[in-house]
Amino acid sequence: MAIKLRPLLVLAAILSCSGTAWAHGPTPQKVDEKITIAAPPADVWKVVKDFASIGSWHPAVTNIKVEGTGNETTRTLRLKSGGKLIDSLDVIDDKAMEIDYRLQDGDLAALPVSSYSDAITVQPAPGGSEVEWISRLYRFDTGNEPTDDKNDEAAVKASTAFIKDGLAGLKAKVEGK
Amino acid sequence: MRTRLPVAVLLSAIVIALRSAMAMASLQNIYVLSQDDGILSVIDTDTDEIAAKIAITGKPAAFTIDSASRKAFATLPDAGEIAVVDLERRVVRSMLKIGGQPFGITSDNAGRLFISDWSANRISIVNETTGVIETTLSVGRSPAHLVATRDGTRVYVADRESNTVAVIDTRGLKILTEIAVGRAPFALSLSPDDKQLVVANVQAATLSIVDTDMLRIVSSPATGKMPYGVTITPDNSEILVSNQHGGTVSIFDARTHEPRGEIKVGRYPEGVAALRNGRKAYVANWFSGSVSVLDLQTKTEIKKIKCPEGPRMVLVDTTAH
Repeated sequence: MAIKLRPLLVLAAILSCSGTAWAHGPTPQKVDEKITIAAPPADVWKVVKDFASIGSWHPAVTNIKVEGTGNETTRTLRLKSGGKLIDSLDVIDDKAMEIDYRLQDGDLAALPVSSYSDAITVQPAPGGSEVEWISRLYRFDTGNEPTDDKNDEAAVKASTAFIKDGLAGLKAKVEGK
Repeated sequence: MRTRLPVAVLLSAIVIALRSAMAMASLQNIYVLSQDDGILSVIDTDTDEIAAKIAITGKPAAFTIDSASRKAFATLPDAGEIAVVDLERRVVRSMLKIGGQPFGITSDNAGRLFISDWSANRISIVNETTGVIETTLSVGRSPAHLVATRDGTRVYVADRESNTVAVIDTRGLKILTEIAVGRAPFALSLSPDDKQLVVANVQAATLSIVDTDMLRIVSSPATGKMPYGVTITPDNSEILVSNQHGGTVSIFDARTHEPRGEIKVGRYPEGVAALRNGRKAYVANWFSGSVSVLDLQTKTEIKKIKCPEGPRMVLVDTTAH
């Protein structure tokens, strides 16, 4: 059975690498990551809703500057990679325990994306809370011939890693580890 | 003879009117285009279930319906193609190879398609039967969605990165003017009488409401954050706006432009359309992979329909049978 399938798999691999199969257009990409934190939702939300707090829990962030108030709030993140991300705050919903923000300006060294809009939510879960961080993003080069470092795969891979590292850092901070 | 004929004419007129009213009530479909899965879903609006799924190879971003030819046309930005869908037989009939990065699309209902090219900053006017590009018009940067008047004489284009709306005279094939709107206009909608154009500005979180006679903004109400979809109900009473951040649909009075309410829907809602009777609306929840059915009288979400992944655009079948 395994032997019979192999030629088909090889053929599928060849086909999927050729032609238009990997040529993507302006298709938004999705990242959806979750983590369970051993703390009450209210305690987790208190940290998450503070737009400046990411500087104290995301391992990739070396420096943060928050400017403006209310709907005009932005934060500038300096990353270990040397990259920079400027986020603008959109929504803090205490009832839903959800914070929404989007990329205002960034660079390739930070993340190979041209834009993202993210939402982080906190929900009760067995053992404490569940934090979900979702992102809608576009690759760095939105033209039809992006290089490998600027295509959809690169954008999703780097964003997933950034979000996973952030969630792990948030968990460590809230759990006091 | 003098009296008999008018009665007969009147009777047959009543019968025809009743028939078409019944047909309209039962045959209105909602079409939902899912980009990631490449599916055009047909929703039966009596049962609010998916009645059919039409497979489109690739990642279709946007579509339009030509009510005259009963065809839908979907853009495939990465392939530079337009899929031609037969709505009666519910199959893809052919592909139009136009090249570039086609994104938004509208029909003049007279055999021509107006298609934006996201990276070439132009509109291609394409013969919907042959696929031949008749001409192109330069517009602002990153033209997104377009909308045509009912008579097809004008097309409006949201030029996202230029913060403008281009107004095309489709007979003279020229740009009449470019109207400065809010930051990052993406979706737009015309009132049923074509008198009012509503533009949703994603970054500004506002609407630009344009008087189409004067070609001037008359009002700029604030929406929720990241308004990505907009429609005016076919009875011309309300404007519906989907807000990606917060996951809501905002409702405005179409005459006063005052807010009338907000309905929580799924995650990252985008395309929105309302039925002709104005009772229900449908919104595509891009992140959730679902369509929310909204009751516009009670202003509540009455159902979520699971649909193929990446739903971005919703249209109501505008054909009067």
